[in-house]
Amino acid sequence: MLNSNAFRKAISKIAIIGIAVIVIIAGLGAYLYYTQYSIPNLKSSLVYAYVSDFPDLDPSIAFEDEQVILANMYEALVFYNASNTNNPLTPWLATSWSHSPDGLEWTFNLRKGVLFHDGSELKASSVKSAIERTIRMGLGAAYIWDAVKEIQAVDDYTVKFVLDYPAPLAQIASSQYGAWITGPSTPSNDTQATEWFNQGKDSGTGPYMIEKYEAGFQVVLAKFDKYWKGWSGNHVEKVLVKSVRDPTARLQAIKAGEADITLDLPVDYLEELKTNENVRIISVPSYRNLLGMINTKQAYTDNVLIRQAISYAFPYDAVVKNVMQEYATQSRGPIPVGMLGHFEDLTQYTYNLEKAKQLLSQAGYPNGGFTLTLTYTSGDELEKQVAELYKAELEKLGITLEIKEMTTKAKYALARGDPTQAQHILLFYWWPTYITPYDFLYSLFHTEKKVIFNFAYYYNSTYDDLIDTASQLEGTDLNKALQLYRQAQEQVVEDATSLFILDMDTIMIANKKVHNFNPNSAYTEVVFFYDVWVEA
Amino acid sequence: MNKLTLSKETKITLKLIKRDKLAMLSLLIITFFIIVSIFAPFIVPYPSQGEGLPVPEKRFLPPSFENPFGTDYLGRDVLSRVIFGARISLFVGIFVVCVAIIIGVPLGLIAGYFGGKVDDVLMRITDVFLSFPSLLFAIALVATLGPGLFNAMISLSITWWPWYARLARAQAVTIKEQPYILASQVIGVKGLTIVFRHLLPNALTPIIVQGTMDMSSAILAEAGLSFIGLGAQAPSPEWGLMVSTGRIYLLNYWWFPVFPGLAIFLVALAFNLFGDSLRDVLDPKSRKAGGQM
Amino acid sequence: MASFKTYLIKRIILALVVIYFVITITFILSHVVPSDPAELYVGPKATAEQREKAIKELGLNQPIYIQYLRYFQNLVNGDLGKSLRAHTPVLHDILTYLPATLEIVVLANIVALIVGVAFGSYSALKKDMLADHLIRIVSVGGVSIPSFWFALITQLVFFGILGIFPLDSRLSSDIQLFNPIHTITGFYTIDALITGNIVALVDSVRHIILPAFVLATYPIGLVTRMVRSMMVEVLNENYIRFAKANGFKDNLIYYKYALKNALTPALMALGLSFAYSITGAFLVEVIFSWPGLGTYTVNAILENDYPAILGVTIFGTIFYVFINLFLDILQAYLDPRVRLQ
Repeated sequence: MLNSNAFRKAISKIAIIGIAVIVIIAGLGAYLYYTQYSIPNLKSSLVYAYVSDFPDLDPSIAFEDEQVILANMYEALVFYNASNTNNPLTPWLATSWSHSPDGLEWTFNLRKGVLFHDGSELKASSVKSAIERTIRMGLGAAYIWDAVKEIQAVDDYTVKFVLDYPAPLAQIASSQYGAWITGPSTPSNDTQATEWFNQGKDSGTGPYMIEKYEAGFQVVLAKFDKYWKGWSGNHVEKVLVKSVRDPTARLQAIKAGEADITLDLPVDYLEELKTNENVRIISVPSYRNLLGMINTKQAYTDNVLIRQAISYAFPYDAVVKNVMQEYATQSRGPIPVGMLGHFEDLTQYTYNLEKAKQLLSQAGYPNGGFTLTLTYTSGDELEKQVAELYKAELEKLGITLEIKEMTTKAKYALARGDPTQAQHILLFYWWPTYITPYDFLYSLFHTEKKVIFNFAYYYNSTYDDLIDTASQLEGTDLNKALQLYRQAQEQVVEDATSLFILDMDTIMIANKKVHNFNPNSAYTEVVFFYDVWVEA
Repeated sequence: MNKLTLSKETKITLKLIKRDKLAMLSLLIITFFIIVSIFAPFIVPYPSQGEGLPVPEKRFLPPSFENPFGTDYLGRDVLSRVIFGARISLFVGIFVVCVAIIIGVPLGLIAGYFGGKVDDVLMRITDVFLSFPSLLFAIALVATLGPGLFNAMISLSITWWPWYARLARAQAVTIKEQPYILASQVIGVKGLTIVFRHLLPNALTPIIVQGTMDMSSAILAEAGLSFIGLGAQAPSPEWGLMVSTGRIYLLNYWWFPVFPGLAIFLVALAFNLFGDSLRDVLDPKSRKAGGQM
Repeated sequence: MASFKTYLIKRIILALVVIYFVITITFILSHVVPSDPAELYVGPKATAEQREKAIKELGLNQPIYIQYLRYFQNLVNGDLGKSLRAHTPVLHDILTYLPATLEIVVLANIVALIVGVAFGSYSALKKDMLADHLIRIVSVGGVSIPSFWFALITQLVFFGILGIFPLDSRLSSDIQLFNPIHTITGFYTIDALITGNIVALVDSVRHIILPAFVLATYPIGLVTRMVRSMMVEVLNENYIRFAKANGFKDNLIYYKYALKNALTPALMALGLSFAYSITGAFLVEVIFSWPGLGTYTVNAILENDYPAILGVTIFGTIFYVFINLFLDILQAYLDPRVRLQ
């Protein structure tokens, strides 16, 4: 055996030299650290810890969560103020608008003196080419402009839209997808422009510009000096928007003051945050609901009695109370609470196993004895918990629920195949592109030649007529339109085409130093940084 | 004659292992997990919860006498689920290793015994497979085949077999020079018969050692796949999946992700330590070194 | 030297064949998948016309062999396809995310080398004594611990309980806003150091410690075990005993001969674990929200972004194959016996 004393001595020699070097470096480092470290002007900055990243910053294409950034760099013609239910449409880049009695011609008067980030002034021609670009590319939410036949720049500050059929164009122009007005600095080649945007360039009129863009992780926004509303008063001048997927990380960030605003934390953590003196919880209707689309073409669920039975077997209260801790409400039909076209007295299923058993007996399955399949999205905590709770309830009726976790794509692939081979129940969320009941009622239950989102495979021409007519009336006779929308909703509830599970709230958590922060349900999870200010 | 040496080998092996306290301890842990997973439905406190029945009013209870490992996000007893999870993980380990052996060993033996072109072709294929980063390859495979426990197991097996082919080939090359093999050849026994009658039983020992060590890698790899959502699916009590689900609750309800992960660690550690000891014992070179120092 | 040349050529051909196979397999995977990639390309609410357009754009309407040839042609030109989700070139994405991954992988392997050699040689010196047994448990533990779970435990202990390290990410928010790092190499610690941004350096070091430590556990186990077994052998060899008998000082023997001999296999083990860590980093990155290739890949998996997943697979394989090629050649050069195999 070797003598390890010598080894030990050698080690201690190295250690002494090492420690000496470390001490010297540390001393030098500490000196530099304190001379460099400037106490930042917290008043003018804000950190938003957001959930996801922003896959496509091209305002004409973006169709996921990019509005979180885009709504601060771009503006649309019309602003949708969701908190003002009676008159939500307010001026933004357009100061006023009007339409012909038949709803086929819409005229918008533009605000004067608005500058794009490249310094050029907002003109009717820019509006025309911006929206034409969106239509021409035909990607993302471009379909919202389907009714548009022609856009005319009447003069520098007047834009006229000529339509093929009546459509609520002011609402469409307030959309959070596909309605942003881009300026002349946008490259003229459409594909090159997309690349240009995704390098972190922008051509909007909004209060902020991208200072640094790290795709997939974060965006630093800095104020646009010549923003038309000006910078007097309290405003945030620099913003860091981080994509933080892990809810634990978001929770810790808000607790430690690393982030000023965040959202979408597990409800189990909100209890703890309620007692935290530094933060407040802001909850607003999100216009987003959780649905369990029921396959009307598959064995068992093609029977309306069974569909109604399983609608009565869903533990609505347990989900609202235990899983969501009251941060959501049970849905009443397909249109979420707070949104145009939602009716508080619409028929609603409740958790009632007796009723469910009765309906099952009528259908000829008094003791169940069959298996249903349910698919949900991988990684979605809520859908998973809902599925597992539902399984336990159906078990009591003698129905086996087979739960399948699938990625979004696999889930859709299965659902878009042969309906008789597809899942029985498909869990997913829906939220509107622009604020209209038609968005929900058309996408979810309108007859489709090829399945896109009607995962109930519900084909009912009476229903189709109701909502199509309502949609055309929406711009001119809203009351009549709403009446028809209501009739259509009663129909799908009666037919139990879906489990109408939850109307979700957007739960935002903000540091108490953040003032004047009022989330707007029409712009999903957007913080309008210009409106808020942070206490020093 | 051959049988005699083998049993002598085995005797020495057993003797040496008995002296190795760590090996005995790890063997004890392995046996414990195997017994527990076989009798899971009879010994867990809440069998139905183990299989996934939610108890919404008992969410996130900390460890106590009733729930020694606490409860999870649906109020289920974590201990019961961890024990049910043992069944899955051990099954996965055995499945992956067995499939890899079933594919790899015959190929390796054939290559080693026949040599020449057959050997060249088979070994080049093996080399190609060995040159893939196996976990990455398994990820790509499951991601496209679609997530699920079965697909994960298949993908792991596919990336695992070449190791056994190589090992079996090395064995075949040494064994085929033994007198009794040469004798069989002389009396005209067919090649394949020799491979499976004589080579296979004699090449088995090192393969079993390798298999024991691989149990741990297979369990770890599968837990990893489940953790990123490619393996077992909810409400399965698979350990990696439980850690993944419990991850977001770590700082408030630590017991939910910690215990299933601990189980993975213990099982993997036990298999590795045991395999390590086995190798020490079976590898004459390291034994010699041990004897001299 | 002729045999070395033959070996070299053989080895390079094998590497090329492997790469060819991977490319073919990834092509099959991406085209055997039943559902169509066009759908993801155009987004969830797209119309039929938009899908048609995308199918043409992606060349999905052409016969399969044309697609195959095209796939190859594109790869040769460094085109790994476009991400279905973000529509950015996959290669560009990979190169963006790579430095963050390399930063922890390199650091973890340096740590592994230092700790592994120290543990391994000490263990060999104290063979069969308590220290040896303890180190053995630690090293076997290192290769047995599920990295994703260990990462959580370190977060729980060092962030949750002790509060001495940040939970995750690469830099704190206020550093991002007010002391941003000017990117040169993409390694934050190095960039901060060479630009003299000490505030950011301290912050980035604080952030890298936990993920690098967790990532190092596997290679530490690997290197320790290899160094130990080599050292045990080397210490037994005659020339060491001869040196001892002739009165050379112990530490001289130890450093000059024994350790030196054991270092080559340790470096080999490290090379392998370096290649391994590229995938090993996947799980660790996800937990520490580390903006590297692993996070990128796992997100791609969640989004079913096939070009991204397969792009990473091809890139990772090429990386892995070349490291192995380099190591094999190095080994063959140093040790002629290898060539004969």
